[in-house]
Amino acid sequence: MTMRRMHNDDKKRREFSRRRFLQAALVTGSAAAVDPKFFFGADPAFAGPPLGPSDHILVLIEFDGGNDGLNTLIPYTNGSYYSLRGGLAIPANTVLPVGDGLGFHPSLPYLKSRWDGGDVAIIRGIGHADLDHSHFSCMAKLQSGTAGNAPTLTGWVGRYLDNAGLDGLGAISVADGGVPLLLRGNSAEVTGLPSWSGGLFGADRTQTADRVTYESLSAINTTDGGKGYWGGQVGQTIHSALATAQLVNPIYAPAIDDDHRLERDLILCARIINLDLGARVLHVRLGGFDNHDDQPNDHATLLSEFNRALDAFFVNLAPQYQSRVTLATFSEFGRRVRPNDSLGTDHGTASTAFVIGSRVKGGFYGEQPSLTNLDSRGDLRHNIDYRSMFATLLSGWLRADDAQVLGQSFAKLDMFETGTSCAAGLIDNIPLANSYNAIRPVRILDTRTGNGATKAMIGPGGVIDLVVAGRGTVPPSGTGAVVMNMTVADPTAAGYLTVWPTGDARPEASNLNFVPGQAVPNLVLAKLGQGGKVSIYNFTGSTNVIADVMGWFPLTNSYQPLVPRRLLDTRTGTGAPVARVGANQTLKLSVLGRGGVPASGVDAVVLNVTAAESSMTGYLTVWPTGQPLPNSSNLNLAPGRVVPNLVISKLGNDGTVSFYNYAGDTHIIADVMGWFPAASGFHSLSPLRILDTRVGNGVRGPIGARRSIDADGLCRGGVPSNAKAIVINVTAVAPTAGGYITVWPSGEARPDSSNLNFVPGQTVPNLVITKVGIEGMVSFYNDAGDTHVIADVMGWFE
Amino acid sequence: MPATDIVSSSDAAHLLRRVGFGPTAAEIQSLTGLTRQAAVASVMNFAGAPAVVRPAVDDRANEWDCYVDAQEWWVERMRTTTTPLQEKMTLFWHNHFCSSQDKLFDMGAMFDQNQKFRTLGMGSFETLCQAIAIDPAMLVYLDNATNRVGAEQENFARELMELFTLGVGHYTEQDVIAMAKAWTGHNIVGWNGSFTDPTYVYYPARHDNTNKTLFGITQNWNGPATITEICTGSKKTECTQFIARKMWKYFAHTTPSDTLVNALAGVFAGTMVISDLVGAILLHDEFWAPASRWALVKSPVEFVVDVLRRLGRPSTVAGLPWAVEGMGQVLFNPPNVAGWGQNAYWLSTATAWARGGWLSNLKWQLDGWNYWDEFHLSGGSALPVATAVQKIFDDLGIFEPSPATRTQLTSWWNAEPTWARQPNALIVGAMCPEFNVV
Repeated sequence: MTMRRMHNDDKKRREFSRRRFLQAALVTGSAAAVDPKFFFGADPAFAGPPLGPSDHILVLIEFDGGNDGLNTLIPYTNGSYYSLRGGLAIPANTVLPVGDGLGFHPSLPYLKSRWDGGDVAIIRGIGHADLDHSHFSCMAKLQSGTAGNAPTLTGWVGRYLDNAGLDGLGAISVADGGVPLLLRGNSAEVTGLPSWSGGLFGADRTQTADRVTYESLSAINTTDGGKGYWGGQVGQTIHSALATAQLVNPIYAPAIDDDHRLERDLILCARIINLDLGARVLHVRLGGFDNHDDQPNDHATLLSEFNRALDAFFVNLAPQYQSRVTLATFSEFGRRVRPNDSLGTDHGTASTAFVIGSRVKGGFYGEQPSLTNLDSRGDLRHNIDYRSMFATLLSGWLRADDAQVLGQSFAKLDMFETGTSCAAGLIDNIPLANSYNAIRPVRILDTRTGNGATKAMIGPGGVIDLVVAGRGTVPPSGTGAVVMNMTVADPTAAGYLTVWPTGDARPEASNLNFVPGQAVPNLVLAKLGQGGKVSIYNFTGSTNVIADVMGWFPLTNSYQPLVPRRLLDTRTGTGAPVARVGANQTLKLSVLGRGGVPASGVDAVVLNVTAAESSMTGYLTVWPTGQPLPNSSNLNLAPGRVVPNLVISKLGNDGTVSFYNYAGDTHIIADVMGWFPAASGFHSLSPLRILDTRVGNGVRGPIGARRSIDADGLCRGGVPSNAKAIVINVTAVAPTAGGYITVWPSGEARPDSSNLNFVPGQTVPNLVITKVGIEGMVSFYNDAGDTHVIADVMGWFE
Repeated sequence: MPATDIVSSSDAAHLLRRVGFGPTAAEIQSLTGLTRQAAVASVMNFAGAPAVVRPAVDDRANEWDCYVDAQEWWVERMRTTTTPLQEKMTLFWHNHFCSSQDKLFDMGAMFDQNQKFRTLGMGSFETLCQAIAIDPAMLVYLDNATNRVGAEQENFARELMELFTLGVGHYTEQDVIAMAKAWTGHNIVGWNGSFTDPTYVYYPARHDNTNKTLFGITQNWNGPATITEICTGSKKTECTQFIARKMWKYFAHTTPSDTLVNALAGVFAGTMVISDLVGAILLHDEFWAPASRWALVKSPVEFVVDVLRRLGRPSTVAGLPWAVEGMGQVLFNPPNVAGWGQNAYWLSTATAWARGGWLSNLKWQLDGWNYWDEFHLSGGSALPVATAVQKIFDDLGIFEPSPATRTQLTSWWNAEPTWARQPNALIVGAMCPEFNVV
């Protein structure tokens, strides 16, 4: 018997033993590293992070053993194929033609139907320069997905999870035999689910004895066992496993016929997706492609299995996910062109991969490898590196930073249609509206560096006149007002800044309030004065000031900026009686006909709201009077701190806005900055929370240091698909370190600007007006520590 | 002198957890009251090691059975040996000089390599390194079997420096090229593109006899001389630090300071004898300090062996290897040449399921063998609860349970239906934090 033969027998034996063993009722799964800080398992309420409406899901199908690309995608018009392949060649009259002289193996009719529908990308000549014909090391290289050849403890999906900060259900492998290297991360946890129903430890609690045991184990592993840090981590892990088992257990019913393993596993994947547990990447495995002998039968059976499994997957996938899932196949290598003497093929190099889904741009990628220009071992030469495919999936589908995950930037394939169904066509090439022009943020003032002003702090009572028109992409003329995020840095005393149009008298108003040493930002909608300038006044002490311009309004038919005027001050009786606003109290403010706001035709007002002398930690919500109190916040109050934030609020039917105070009592001050007419192109909304990482609204889990997340800006909270920019109040909650958050349109390079600054433990909001990026997404970048982020949408611009 | 400090029972349990697979009360008692020096000398004395009887690993027509036999053989040896540190060292080197049956499909060669770890694992590091470099399983695993002049294969050359002796940053890409050339011709007979009982052979005609510049030294380097250079020459300091750090993390905790590592490396450098390094680690004050206690997550192999020891059951009941695959560690089959990690590497929901599922399965297997009467944890469901809970701790070797765990186990015993107390005692006992850290 040849060694080759033994090898195959061994595989079969292994398969047999595995099945026999599983029938002995043993659960399998596998190991992965876990960073405990991502654990939420202690609270089942946290265990089900829903996907955002446009988050994408990737299903990776691993063909174990080395799939024969030449007999999967058959060059049936090439005479060399028949002369080289001999008896193993697939007859031309049986292939399913896909064009370019190529055809699918006759076992792939469903794949062919999806190809005909434009849903299949065929990657030809895919391989890797260093494939050494070893199953083990080739698969390890593909799964590692690193720039070099160094062995790693992590795989590229695992590192994607690390970067995305996804929890244990972010990636799930449904494959007997454990979680592969592919899914292992440095800090990410992944889940490996068995293929068979029943026996998931902790899941079945129908018997009292089991229930008592599992509940006791949850309790035991919640208490401090006094065995140090790692004892605590073990406890959390076991606790989380018990909770998660119950979450995923529903996928095993009803029972699935066990005759077709890949079909069974892909149906389980579809059920996992339908459960909406937050899985972004799923992994399944089909073994047996090491066709050293008896290839015609074995390979046809495997491809048929793949074909029916694909069909079953889409049959079982809920309608709302049909366009959200892409499947991709990979195998460690292809097979040698010439058959061996056992009606099989030996290990080769280049092969064929498929990427399948309704958002895939169907077609050929890469070149069909030459059958006459083979390498020295008689193998096909690859022309697309596997890591290009992975980079494409990461960047084009999962919207991840592929270079960071893979260690370097690989050429990407243009494989995915951009634009979600609800936001189709809005991405680029949109003419500038006459309402608001969101631009890539540009820093136009930094007194620390001498950008826009003398390199010096603004002293007590000091004023600088900042040229705004013509800076960045703000036009030199025709600009009525600009949106700037202004930040003070290193102030020496508690004070405030006032921003107003240069040439006008300085109003009694404030834009930023600060205490010594702390960086404080606030959004400013500033009318431009003489020379396209704004003036910035510093009340007391000295401070550095930074301004990032975010966009501009044209002079006409749009935002109507005013010289700021104080409309409300509960300390002095302006706009309301002299009285603190108590807990759970609401204060109504009239704005029509006051401070330059006309008596009619006003859709929304822009107020800089400040809370002062607050008695305890809480928040203020501002919303149109008469609407239900929204689940959103504008200012976060802290005892003894003066807290400002810009607010853009729609007016209620009675022309007023309402202020709700959640806890304690506080003074409230509001300065009007301008207003939007009814047909300004700005559409104000009653606020709606569109992102809350604490509970998994949009994205679940805090943003880690130097990480970013993408959140849906569109199709939520009443924002339509033709929105160009959105107004959101962004709040950083419980940051673990001092740092900042940058908000910018997804898909664009992250600008060198900041929107929120915070110190550890402080909850800080700021209003943000941002352009919307690809597929209606807005990205949030966190500079340091971990922080939760909340975003409440306040309105949108056409 | 700390080495003369007297070992308490808690100290003895700590030492034995690290050098073995779950100490019994009697084993702890035997070291209690000794000096640290005497206790460490005791565990490092391999004179009484049981003889090695080669398992059935040579039936090339039944590689699967060989694979299972080898695993059961090794786990059984871990379970029953009176010199467990010898197996802990073998496991360390198996995870350091990785090779895998998944690539080899030659369990005989894998076992031969394993036996080298066992016999050479406490001796001269250079001797061990030289032996492994030309070990047939390693030659195949890292492809030096095909490394010849004009067709260099860098796989082994790179790992020899990156993973086996120096670590990233202590060699250049130029060194990798030179190292690969140095090892040309160190191949195997029986290599014809597949595996037939590989045996090391040096083919002078396949060796690159040109001058090569390695570590800045230009000469006609030939394989073994490069290891000698690393172990005794210009790279010795880096090598001793690399090994000392990894060894400390294996035995003590995973965050040693540079100062600590350098001190250990200094001791190691004196003789380059591995047992001297191990002795220095085990006698170091910090090994006995709170920072080292409970600082390591019990690996799957340790977990399985410990449970089998508590049950007094042979490795054949464990369902190897698939039973442990779910936990993430299959002997003779590390995931790649980087081996297995530590601590967080072992923690996930899936591995927790696998541990619990394995225990659940074991529970019912044992049932078939008069589990009720024979299982150590039995003693009657009608025992007073305090007695029963203490018995569970004693039988599972949880000698320092936390009050909180005791309270929870008490609640469990009271709530659990009587018939289920004994079978489920194994699960609640072995799935508490105390049983899963060492």
